[in-house]
Amino acid sequence: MSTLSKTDHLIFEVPAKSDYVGVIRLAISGIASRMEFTIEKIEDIKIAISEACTNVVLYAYENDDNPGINVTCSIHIDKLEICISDKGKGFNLDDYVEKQEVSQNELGASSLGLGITFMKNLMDTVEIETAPGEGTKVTMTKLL
Amino acid sequence: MLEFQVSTNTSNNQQIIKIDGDIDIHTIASLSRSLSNLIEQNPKQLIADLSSVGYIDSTGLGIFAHSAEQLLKNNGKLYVLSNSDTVRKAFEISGLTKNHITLIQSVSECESEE
Repeated sequence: MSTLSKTDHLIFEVPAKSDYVGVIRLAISGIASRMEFTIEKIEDIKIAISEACTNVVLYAYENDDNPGINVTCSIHIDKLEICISDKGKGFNLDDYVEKQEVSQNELGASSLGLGITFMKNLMDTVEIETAPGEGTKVTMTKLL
Repeated sequence: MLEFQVSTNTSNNQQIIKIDGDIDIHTIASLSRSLSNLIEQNPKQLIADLSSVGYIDSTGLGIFAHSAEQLLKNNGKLYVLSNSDTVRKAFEISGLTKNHITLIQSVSECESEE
């Protein structure tokens, strides 16, 4: 990891549109790759990032005129910390129940509601800060 | 990122849908339409060939879960063909492989169940 400083922070701001979920996924997999994460861990990070961004696209905002998705990566010597936040409607975390069955979402496609389950399974830590009207912030870390 | 493409192939009671590219929120609408068209024909076996898919997340898994349930109504079964550890791991974490979906590594595996 000779070319990346342990103190580097990278900040991305993208519109909350499905078009950009893959772009963020690729950008962060590039960072993880340069940090010399194993391929398996890079794949875990890609899915976790995508799940967090997908949740923003699907649920955070009521219309297209919005502040988008903010993604911050902090490169530490022993881990990658990724924070994905929005200024959307947020939700009451106490009311959240991880879904186990298929439901229809507004795209007319089915979703398992597995996003948070995936993030928790694939990352070393996952912290979710949210409240109705307060936006949502997901902070995840993956150890090298 | 590979360009996303879906192609289909039919033989007897078996339908094969081959997908190329990443399956995520951006590409699921196109995949969902193709799967729905195939399921309307009530195949006994639907094989989703994901051998050229390197990435799938929960939105994509949701589509396959829904498809498997629709197929089951007419005694059809969904097989997912993949040799990718990433793709197979995603299906396994989701729990879908417990009852709805069978992961295979070659088409011959499901023919032998006929």
